[in-house]
Amino acid sequence: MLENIKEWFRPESIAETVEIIANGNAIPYAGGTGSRSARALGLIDLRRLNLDYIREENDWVAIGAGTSFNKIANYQWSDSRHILALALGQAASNPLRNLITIGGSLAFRPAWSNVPTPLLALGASVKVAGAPATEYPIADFLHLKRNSKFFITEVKVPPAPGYGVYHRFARTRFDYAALDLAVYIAIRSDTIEICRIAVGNLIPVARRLAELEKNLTGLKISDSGISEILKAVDLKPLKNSNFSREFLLNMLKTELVRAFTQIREQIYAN
Amino acid sequence: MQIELTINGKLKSLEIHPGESLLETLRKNGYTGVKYGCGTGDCGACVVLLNEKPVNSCQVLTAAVDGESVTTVEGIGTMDKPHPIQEELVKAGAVQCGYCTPGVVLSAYALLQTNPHPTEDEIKTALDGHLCRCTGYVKIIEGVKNAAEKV
Repeated sequence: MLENIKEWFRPESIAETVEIIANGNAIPYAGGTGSRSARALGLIDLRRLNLDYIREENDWVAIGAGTSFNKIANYQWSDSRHILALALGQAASNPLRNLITIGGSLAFRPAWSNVPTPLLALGASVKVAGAPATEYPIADFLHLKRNSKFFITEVKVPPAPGYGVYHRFARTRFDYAALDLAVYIAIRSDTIEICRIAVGNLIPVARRLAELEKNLTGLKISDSGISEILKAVDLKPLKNSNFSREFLLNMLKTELVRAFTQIREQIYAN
Repeated sequence: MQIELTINGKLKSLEIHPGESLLETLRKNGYTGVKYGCGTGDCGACVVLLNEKPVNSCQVLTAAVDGESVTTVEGIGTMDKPHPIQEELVKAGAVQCGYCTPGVVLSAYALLQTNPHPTEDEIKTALDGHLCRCTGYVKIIEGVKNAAEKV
């Protein structure tokens, strides 16, 4: 029982929702799993705003903020955007994945959500309504304050005709990930043309490894030096009560090498 | 506040607190097959079907699902006429204290409605939100596999 909740608002449009957020002491409610510790006096029901959809628009895919993890995980992705499905299909548990929404996960950014890392590797963007209404590249969005007076309406994911891999490392399936990794590679004539590598959970805010990407772009995918470049990655992992920082950094290097092995296997299988 | 819910196929008009969870609403209205376990969505004892999909009812606020449809274990089978999933779980020795069983039955029911012939991995994924501290999971998975042949 959330004793503090006294009132529900049921807006019928995005504009009305933005107005309620701006004026009142109420927070948005969609899946509900992030609202349990809310100190707000009111909740704004987003479930009737028709934000539960996955639409293909000019090769891009638009995912409504109210779309559940299971709906995304079970969608028939036709290209490497399937790494988003892989990530969300491993988050939390089946009954929770029917509740948790992609918009809520981006708003609250809980440790278990797995959402930012694949979106970074896929070059996604996040549409928000509010002041100002705009569309942010996912990397910029992740640096916005969590309590900003806007709400997320849609996530847009560009086509991903290349090769993608998503890996998540945790003690058990249901545990928070100690690290997750998403890699997207586009190849032309055996040469790496686009390289996006994103890591999450290991660091405070998920991000791409820009220097590593730069060092790999332009190399032949079969280049035997790639493993050495991957093993040279350096960052300072967050303190973790289960694993030492040294272990986590070594695990990241191992997962990177595994990811590239998996990508080569995908390429050679074609 | 006043809301309407369809529970096990019957339309109910209910008086609720705005911050009340679906778990609390169901139990106080007599649907005690829904169990309170952890209260944080980790154990699966409170799982019900919301619009035919399993959800942790402790994580759902009742006011948010006004007008929607809920199925509890009471809507699946009775003592006199248990559902084949319930029968097969008993036969497999998958029920001991029984606290996790209603949630497991509902998740298995939802799975078999959409996927009548699931693989073992699909069963494990469907049941990944349920903790059982008595029998373990081998017998539960065996029971669901056997039920799939009968449903």
